[in-house]
Amino acid sequence: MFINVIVNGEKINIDINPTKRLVDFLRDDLNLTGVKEGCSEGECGACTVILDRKAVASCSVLVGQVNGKEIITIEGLEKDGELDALQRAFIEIGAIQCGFCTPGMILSCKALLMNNPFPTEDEIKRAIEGNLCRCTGYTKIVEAVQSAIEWGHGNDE
Amino acid sequence: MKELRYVGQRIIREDSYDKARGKTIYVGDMKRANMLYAKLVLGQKAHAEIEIDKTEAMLVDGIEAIFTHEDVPKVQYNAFEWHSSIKAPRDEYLLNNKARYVGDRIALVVGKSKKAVEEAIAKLSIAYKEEKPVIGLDEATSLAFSKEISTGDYEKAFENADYIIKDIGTTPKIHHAAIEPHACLAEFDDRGNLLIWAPCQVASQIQIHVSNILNIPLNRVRVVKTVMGGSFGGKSIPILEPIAAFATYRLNRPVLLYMNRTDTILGTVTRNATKITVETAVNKEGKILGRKIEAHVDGGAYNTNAAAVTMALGKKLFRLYDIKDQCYIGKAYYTNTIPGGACRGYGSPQAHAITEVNIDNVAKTLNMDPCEFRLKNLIEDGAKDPTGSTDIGNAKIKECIIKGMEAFNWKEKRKNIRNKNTNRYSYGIGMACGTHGNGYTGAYPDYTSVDLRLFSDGSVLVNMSIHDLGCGTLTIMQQIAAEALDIEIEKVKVTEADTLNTPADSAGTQASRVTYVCGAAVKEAGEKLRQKLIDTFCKLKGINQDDVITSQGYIFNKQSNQKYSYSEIVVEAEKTFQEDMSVFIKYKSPANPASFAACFAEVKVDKYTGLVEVIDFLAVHDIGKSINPMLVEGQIQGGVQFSIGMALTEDIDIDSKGNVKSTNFSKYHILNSTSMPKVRTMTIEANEPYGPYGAKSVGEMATVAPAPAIINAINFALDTNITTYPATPELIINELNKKS
Amino acid sequence: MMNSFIEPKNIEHLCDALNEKDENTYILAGGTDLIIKFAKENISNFKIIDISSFSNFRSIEDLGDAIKIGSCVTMTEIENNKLIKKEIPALATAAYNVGSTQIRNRATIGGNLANAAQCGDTIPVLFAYDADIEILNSLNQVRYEKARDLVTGIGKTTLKKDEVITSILIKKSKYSSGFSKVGSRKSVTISKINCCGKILLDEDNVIRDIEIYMGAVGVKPIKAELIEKEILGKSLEISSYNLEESIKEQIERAIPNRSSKHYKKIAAIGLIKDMLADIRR
Repeated sequence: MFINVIVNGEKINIDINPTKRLVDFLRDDLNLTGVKEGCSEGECGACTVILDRKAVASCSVLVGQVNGKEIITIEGLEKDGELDALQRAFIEIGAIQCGFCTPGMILSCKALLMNNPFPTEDEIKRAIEGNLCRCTGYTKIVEAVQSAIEWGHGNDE
Repeated sequence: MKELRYVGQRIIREDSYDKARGKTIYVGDMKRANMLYAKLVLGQKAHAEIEIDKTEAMLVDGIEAIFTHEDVPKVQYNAFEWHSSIKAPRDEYLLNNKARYVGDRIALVVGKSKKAVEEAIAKLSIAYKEEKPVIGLDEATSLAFSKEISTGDYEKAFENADYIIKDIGTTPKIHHAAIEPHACLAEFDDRGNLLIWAPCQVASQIQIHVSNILNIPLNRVRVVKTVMGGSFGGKSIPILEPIAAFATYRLNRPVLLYMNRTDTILGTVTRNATKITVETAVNKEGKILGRKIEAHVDGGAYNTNAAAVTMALGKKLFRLYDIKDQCYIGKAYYTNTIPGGACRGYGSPQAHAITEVNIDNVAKTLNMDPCEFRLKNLIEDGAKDPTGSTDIGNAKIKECIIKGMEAFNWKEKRKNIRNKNTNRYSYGIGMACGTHGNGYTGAYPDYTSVDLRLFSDGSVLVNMSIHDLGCGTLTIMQQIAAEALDIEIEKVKVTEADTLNTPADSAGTQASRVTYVCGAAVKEAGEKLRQKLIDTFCKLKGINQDDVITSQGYIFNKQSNQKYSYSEIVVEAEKTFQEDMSVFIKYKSPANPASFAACFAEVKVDKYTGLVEVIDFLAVHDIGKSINPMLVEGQIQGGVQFSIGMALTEDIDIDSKGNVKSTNFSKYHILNSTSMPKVRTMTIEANEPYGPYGAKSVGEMATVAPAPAIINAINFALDTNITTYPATPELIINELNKKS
Repeated sequence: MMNSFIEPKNIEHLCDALNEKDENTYILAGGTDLIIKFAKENISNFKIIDISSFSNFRSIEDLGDAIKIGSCVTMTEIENNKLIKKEIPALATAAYNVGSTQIRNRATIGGNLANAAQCGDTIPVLFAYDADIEILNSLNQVRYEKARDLVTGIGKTTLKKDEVITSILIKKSKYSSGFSKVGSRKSVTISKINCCGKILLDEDNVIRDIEIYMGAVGVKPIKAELIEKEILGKSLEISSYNLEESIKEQIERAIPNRSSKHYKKIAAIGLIKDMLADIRR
C-alpha cells in the first residue's frame, strides 16, 4: 500500500506493508533510530512521536493509520542546526542520564508546548505521565521544561 | 592548594548533546551487512522437563537456526564470576536442559528478520513435563549459601538488655527497569576476533565467559561496551552476550540478540527477595547493646550471586551503628523463580529496609525521637569495622541527620503533623539512614589502569576501561583528568571499555567503585603527567621547577615571563628526547570506606484507597566531595525514584505455580512523573581520604535509605508496624483492618 | 481477496469491508489495545479495517435534546470538549483518567466500549447515562442498543461479526454527574474499581434522583442500588450521612467470593466520596 506521510517536514511516498507498526517503520525503513522501543505495549513512552501535533506511542499505531498525516520524531526538532529550546534545556539542566527515554520525553513535552505554551508544573507532569524514566526521578526533567518555557521555547506553531 | 576549576562544577555532559537529538547509537540501533536477529525462547513452566520440536518453526521463511540445549557446548558456568580469581558454583548452560523457572532460557531462534524470528517462536512446539516447583522463601529448603558473621557476644548483650525489639520483614524481587531492554551484537571483526558489542558493566567479565564457554583464547575475544540505556545492575552479569557470541561463532554471521520488556523481566535477573528477622537489644538509656539479624535470601533458580549478595547484605550491618555485640546469619536458597543478580545497592536496600524500620520501633519502645535515638548510636568519624573489614573512613552520618532535621523541620513536623489528619487522610513523617561501600577492597580484587596521553596538538586521551551506565561517569573522569592535568576540559576525551584496546580493570562499573577507585587512578595519572610535562619543560629550557607554573594547557616560565602551550612542549620533547608524553598508571585501591545518607519523607495516606502519596522528600548524603553537583543530584533523585518504588509499588508478582503476573509496565509499576515528589538533596562534603579530591560514592547509596524512610513515615501516620515491602494499597488497608 | 488494510472512504466502502470481514479481520480504531494484542499474542496474518480517521465517526454533535459522540472520538477530545464537560461531566472526568497522554490521544470511546474490559473507564458512565449505541452492519442497516445491553461480559458484546459501533447517543438532562477510579497508583493505572454517579438536585440541593454504576466488581458495571438508596433524598454534603455500611454491603453482594472484596469494600468508600466530590466540583 502506498502511504503519503510527512516526516520531519519531508514528504514521503512509500510502498509499504500498512500493518507494520509505526515504530518499526520509522526505525527500520526511515532509519530514525532516535525512536526507541522500551516496552512494546504503550506503557513506557520511549517510542513517543508527535502525530498531527499530538504525542502518541508509535508502538501502538500502524503505518496505514498515518497516511496523509504529519509526524515529528526527535530527529526533526532541530531547525537549521539549532536545537529546540527543550533539547537545550534538557542538556543544560542535566535532565538526561542514560538517554533512552529522552527522545520520547522531549517529544511529549514538545507536544505539550505546541498546544499549551505556558503549562503549570502539574500540566508538565501530566504530559509526561506516560514517559517512564528510571534514571532521573523526573525532577530535572520538569525543571528543564520550565527552563525552556522561561527561555522562550520559540513556539513556531 | 589551587582553587578547583572543574571539580565541583556543574559541567554539562558531552554525551547529552547527541542523546537530546536522538543521534546516539545504542546496541539495538546497530546494523550490519548480513546480520541475523536472534531471540531467546523462555520456559513457560517453573519446573519441568522439556521437549522441543522445532520442525515446523524451522520451516518459517528466513529462519537460519534454532538452537537448544543439545546444540550448545556442555560447559557449565556461573555468569556472576567477574574476575579470573572468583569461583562460584557453576550450574547454568548457554541454553538450559530443563525449565527451572518461568523465564529460563531453553532455546534460541535465529533468523533474517525479527518478523521471521517471532513467527518461528510462535510455531515452536514445547512439551513440558511438570514437576513441583519451589516458590518463595517459605517453601525453600535447598541452601545455595550460608554464612555467619559475628562480633562480640550478642547473647550476653541480650541478657543485659532492658528491651529486645524483634521485627520480621520481607522485601520483594525487583525488576531493574532500565528503559533500554537487554540486547547485544556479536560478529567477527576484521582481524578475526570474536567481537561482542554490549551495554555492559564489566566487559572483561563477558570476555572471560565467552572464552571459557567457546574455548577461544582471551586475546581473540573482544568486548566493546556500547552506550547503555540504563542498567542498575540488570546488565551486570553476562546473560545474552555468551549466547550471541555462540550463535555468531556457529553461523559465522553477525547476530543481534534482542529482548522485549517481558523477556527482560522474566529472562534476566532481579533484585533478590529477602526475609529478614532483626532483634535489637537496648538499655533504658537508649544505647543499643546488641543485635541479631537473620537474612534469608531468595537466590532463584541458579546460583549466580547467592553468596556475594548474602555477604554484602550482612557486612553493611556492621558499618552504620556502633554495635559491639552483633550476629548476622545469612542464608541463600534456591527457588524456581528468576535468579538473583546485582541490583543498585546490592543487598544494602534489603538490609536497611528491615533494620531501619526496626530501629524506629526501638525508638518508639523507648519513647525517643527516632533521630535522637539514631544520633546516640550511629558510628563516629574514623570508626573501624568491628568485623575487621576495611576502615569506615570519614563517616558523617550524624551530620547528615543533624543537617537534615533542620532542613526538614523535623522536630516541629513530627510534633504537629498529625494535626493535618482528617477522617480520610493520615499524614506522617519518617526518616532512615543507610550506608554503602566504595569498591571491592577487602573482599575482591580492586585495581585499574590508566593510560594517559597528551597528543602533539594538545588534546588528551584518558585510555581506560570505563563503563558509563548512563550516570555520567565519563564526565566525572573528564573533570578529574582536566583538573589534575590543568588543561581545558574540552581537550580531554575518556574511553570506555574495549577489552583489546583499553587497559586492564579488575571489576568494571559496579560496587560503587568508579568515582572512588577509577577516579583516584585518573587523578594520579593526571598529576603524574603534569609533573612529567613540567620536568620535561625544565629540562628543555634549563630552568628550575620553582620557576614554572601551569594553567589551563599552558606552562609559564616565570623567569622569562614566556608562556608555552602543552602542545608546543610535547612536539619539542618528542623530537628532543624521543619519548611520547604519556603515563601509564596501575592503581590498587588502598581503602574501601563507607558512604552514608539520611533520608526524610513526608507521606499522606488515604485510609480508604490505601494509596500513599510522598509529598516531601529530602535526601542528605555524606559523599566526601561532589565532583559534579548536577550529576550528584541526578543520582540521588533517580535513586529515590528506585527506592520509593520498592517501598510502595514494585514487586515481581509470582504465583504459587511460579507464573509471573507482572510481565510489563502495566502491571509492574515503577513511579511515573505524577507520583514522584520533588526530591530535595543536600550533601555533606567533608573530604574522604584516598577519594579523588575527597569524593566517594553516591549512585547506589541513593537507593538504600528512601524506602525505609517512607515505611517509617507510613507507620508513624497510621500507628502500624508495616515491615512488608512494598506497602501496596491492599496491604495498608489490611493493616488498618487488623487494627480496627 | 481483500487488502490487508482497508481505510474506508465512505459508508458503502465500509459496508463492503464489513461484508468481507472474516475471523482474521479486525476493526481498528485507536489501536491502543488491539495493536498491542497483535504483538503480545504474536498475531501476524491479520487484516485491518481502519476506522480511526473515518470522518463520519470522528465528531461530537449537539442534536438539541441529545449529544452524539462518534465512536472514534478520542479520550483527549472528550476530556477537552466543552459540550461534554457541561452536559456529561462524568464522561469528561472518565476520559481524563484513562491511561496516559499518549493513550488518550489515540484511544477511542467506541474502542473502550467494544473492548468491554472489566476496568473500562467510560463504560460505567455510558451505563449511568443509559446511552444508546448506534450500530451499523454490512447491509448498511442501523440498529440501536442500550450500552447496558450491548456489553454482556468481560470482553463480550452483542456486536456481530459484520457490525461496527458508529456513535454513542446520550440524552441531555438536568442531571449532574461525577466519575472516580481507584488503581494502584495516582495516574496511568488500570482501574481496580471505578464508578459513575448521576444525580438530580432540587432547588434545596437535595438529591431527588440518583444512578450509580460501579465497574470492575462484576463482569460489567453494576448498578449500586444500596448506595443509591442511602444517598437519595439527602443533600450533596457527604458528611451528613453514613455511607460506609451500604458501600461494604454493595461490594459484598457484587463479589462475595473474590478475595479482593476486603480491599474493595474500603476502597469503594473513597471511590464514592471522590465521585461525589467530582459532582460538586
